[in-house]
Amino acid sequence: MFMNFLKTAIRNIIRNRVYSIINIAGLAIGITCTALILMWVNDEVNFDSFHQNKDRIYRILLQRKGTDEIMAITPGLLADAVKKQIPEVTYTARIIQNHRNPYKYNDKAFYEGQTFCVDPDFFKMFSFQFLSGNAENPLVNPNDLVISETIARKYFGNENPIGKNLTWNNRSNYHVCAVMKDMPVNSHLQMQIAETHTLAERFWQGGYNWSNFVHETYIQVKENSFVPDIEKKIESILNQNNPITDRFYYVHLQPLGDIHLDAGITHSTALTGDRKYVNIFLLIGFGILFIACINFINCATANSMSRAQEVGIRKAVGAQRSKLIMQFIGEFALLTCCASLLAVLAINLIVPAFNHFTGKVLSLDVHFFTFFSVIILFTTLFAGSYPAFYISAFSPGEALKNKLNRTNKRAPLQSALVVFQFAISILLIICTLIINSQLTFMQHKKLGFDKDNILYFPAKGQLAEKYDIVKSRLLEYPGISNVTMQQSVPTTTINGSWVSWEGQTKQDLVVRNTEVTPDYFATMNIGLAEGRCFSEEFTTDKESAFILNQAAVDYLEFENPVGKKIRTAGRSGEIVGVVENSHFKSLHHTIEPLIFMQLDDYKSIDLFGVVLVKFSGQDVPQLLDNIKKIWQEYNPNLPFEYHFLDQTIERQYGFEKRLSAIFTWFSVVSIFISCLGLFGLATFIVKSRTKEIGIRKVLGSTISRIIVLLSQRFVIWVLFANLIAWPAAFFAMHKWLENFAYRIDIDLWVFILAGALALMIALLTISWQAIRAARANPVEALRYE
Amino acid sequence: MIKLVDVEKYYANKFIKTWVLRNINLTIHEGDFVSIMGPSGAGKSTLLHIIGMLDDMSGGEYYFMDEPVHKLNEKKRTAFHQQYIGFVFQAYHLIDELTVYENLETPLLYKKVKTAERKSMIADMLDRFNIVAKKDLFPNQLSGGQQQLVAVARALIINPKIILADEPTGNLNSKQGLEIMEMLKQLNKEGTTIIQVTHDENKAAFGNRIIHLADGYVEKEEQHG
Repeated sequence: MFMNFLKTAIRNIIRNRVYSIINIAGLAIGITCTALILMWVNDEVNFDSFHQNKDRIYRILLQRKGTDEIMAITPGLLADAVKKQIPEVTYTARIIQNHRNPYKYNDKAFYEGQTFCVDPDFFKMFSFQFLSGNAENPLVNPNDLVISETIARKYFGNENPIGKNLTWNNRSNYHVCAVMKDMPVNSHLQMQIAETHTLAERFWQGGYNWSNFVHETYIQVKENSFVPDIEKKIESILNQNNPITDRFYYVHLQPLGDIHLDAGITHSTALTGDRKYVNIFLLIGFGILFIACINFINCATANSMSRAQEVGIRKAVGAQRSKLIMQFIGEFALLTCCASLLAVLAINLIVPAFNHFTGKVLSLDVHFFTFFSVIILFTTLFAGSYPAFYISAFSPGEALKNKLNRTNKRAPLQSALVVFQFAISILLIICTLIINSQLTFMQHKKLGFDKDNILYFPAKGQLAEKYDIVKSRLLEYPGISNVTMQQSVPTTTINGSWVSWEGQTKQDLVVRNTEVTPDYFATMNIGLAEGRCFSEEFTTDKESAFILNQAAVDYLEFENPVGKKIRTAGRSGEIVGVVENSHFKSLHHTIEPLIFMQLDDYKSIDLFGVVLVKFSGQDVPQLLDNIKKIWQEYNPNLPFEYHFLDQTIERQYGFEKRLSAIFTWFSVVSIFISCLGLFGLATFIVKSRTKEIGIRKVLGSTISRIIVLLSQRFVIWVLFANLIAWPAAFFAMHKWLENFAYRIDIDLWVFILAGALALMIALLTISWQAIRAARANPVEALRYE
Repeated sequence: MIKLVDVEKYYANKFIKTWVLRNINLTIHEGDFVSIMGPSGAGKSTLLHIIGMLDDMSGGEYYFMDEPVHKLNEKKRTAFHQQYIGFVFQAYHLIDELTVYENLETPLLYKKVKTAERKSMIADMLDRFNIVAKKDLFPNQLSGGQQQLVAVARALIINPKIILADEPTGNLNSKQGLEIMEMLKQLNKEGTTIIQVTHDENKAAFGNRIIHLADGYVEKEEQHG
């Protein structure tokens, strides 16, 4: 029986070549997309699952009362108190990320960004693997370092790194106590170097008290602990030690498994994705598979007439309906299997590029094949059952008399499915267009400062201390027009402080501040709105002058800001000027209130300060060479590293860029699969109307009228699809754009363009069949019938 | 063997009922060779399909070997197809994707005949119809007469009690047609009940009873030898 079915199936596949190719190709593409997306999603939702204690590890979060702002930072003394005072807690570990700074071994020196201070409990809580060194008890001595294998190879090559010294920032010496395996890519923690808190605490007591919030704190609890209780206890510890927190914060414990996908937690160093996008991609993945299944269903139902006779015969010679259903589902399973084979080949080819694009290391492992089988099963049953039931229900009498109505049978399901297919495609096109316009908008919006032709490099060591000489030497080079120094990279202001002023009406206002040299505003080309800039002529500027941006003026509700006395960041003095707003942060965010102060102590910014250079743009290699020479003169022991400001700003939109690329691909794929289906459907519809076309031509219809007649139905389908897609797209994109403080308006033309595009592609697809049918010799059409 | 009581069949549209068969009362005994005649659209094929349980009837009663068909479910009817009824159609209705051998095999597969037995039954049948050489050919590689021969062989392979033939010679030339008719006659002599639909008087004459249908009614019935 099975062989009989198999033979029929294979011979049918070969006989209906076009139909089979359309089905297999469409399904293969659909399965490929869905499988890739599922692999990606599976990886996203299983972040950090390799930790043995994963169900008992939490990160402490603080939620600002009255807002939904949740931050990952806690006071530095909290961890120890929690461990001592709460019996349910077995381990606690603080982490804090160091600023990007150079490490050096012999003559090898590099800047490292992924370096953290951690507590010894850290490696007891988390299951990171060690390759060599003291794996039992790493980080016991203050100068101990744990490094990753990548770092070990980078600095020590083939030497054994254990016990060797690494010099940090030309100042402190560390020695390597253990080498760990690189942290897996599906870990929210991505450390290359881990050191103790001991040295940091010695240098920076301010970071280790109850009022400064800088540490991320992880805790591990005993099994079956009741989390809300622990949250309450932590809250009360916090309030005992820093009464102000009671006014401001709730404590939440975030399970380890949620850290990666909880987007929008501020001050988090975790590698975060976004649950929202995981869901969106999941939806798109199944959408595409659904589109492919629709092709399958439609082609199979349209093609069913060619199988009607067989069904009739089989029933007449004694086939039960269940046997027929089995036969047809089996046949579809065969098609699905062919498609799956192709898909596996395709996935195998695509995975390297996909990994490169997504930054993951996905492979075709056991997980994959489990998923894959589920997809195949789902596809076969979902796409196969309706046609199988439909075809097997034919009344044998009518099937054999050829009485099944071929042309006039309205197939409402078929129409609905095509409409749905195109609705998804149009929706994706609209999303692609809007995401792209928003991206272009962000890339071209005037930022309030010049981002082009500005490069920056760290203000370190001698170079920072002797900045005034360095500056005048730099300015001697022909390509350089301005030089300035800032406390941090312009896009990341690190300090925020309480502000108070005479006749203060509002309380508890925190405003970010940054220290700059006087020529900052000229270098960045930031416009002055009122008052004056900092100036060397006013020697008091160094301690007691403030410049506010307009956002700060609005935030503090100053009427005539210039001349007003304020106090913040340990300084008190007078507002000397107001500058125009600048978008230093990405356009997701509104412009932050910002207070500029004149940079006083050049040495103080050694860890994170930068020198910004405005250049003409001609002969950049020569320019870099010149700067490097000066750098090496002052800092012979430190590597030179530079960045272009426009690229730094561009990187803020990396996610949106990728999103736009993904959506473009998805739309192309979904449109392509839909068109495959449409082509198949057009073939069948034209075939079933051959006689009608013949008669019409005999009666004198022109070719163009017949093409119109054949295309009508498709045009109506696509128009209907627009009706569904437009509101859905509008709703979705409206929501998405809310992520941006500065955004484009949704224009009608986007919708019309997407609809027109879909219609055009659909018409192109069917035109070949329609024209061929319309031009055929009517006599042959009639004889054929 | 077959008893139809007031059988009727219509197709209901939104507004009109189109009657195909009305007031059909008919008894067919084992060993009969019945020819159903009548002009186009008289309902001949429909009647045959109802007898063959391929079509449902709209009203009336139908007893097949004393079982009330109008009350049976699909499963039971399928069992009848497997056990007792063989079909021969004007358009042969072989499965295009299967070879001669596989076409003959199909009814046995549904009947769940064991492999060895199946093989010998097919071999017998190929032998009997002299088509051993053609067993691996597909239907479209055969002439019309040969296809119909295979169709008859397929009908006979389950050793049916009754053969229902719907214009079995309609698509054949006269020589081929005559051969098929002779074969049916021979089968009838060996005890198989045969009901054929035809509008050719000569072919109808092979039967011992001729039933004339017109506009869905039984117009008259003739008895021969």
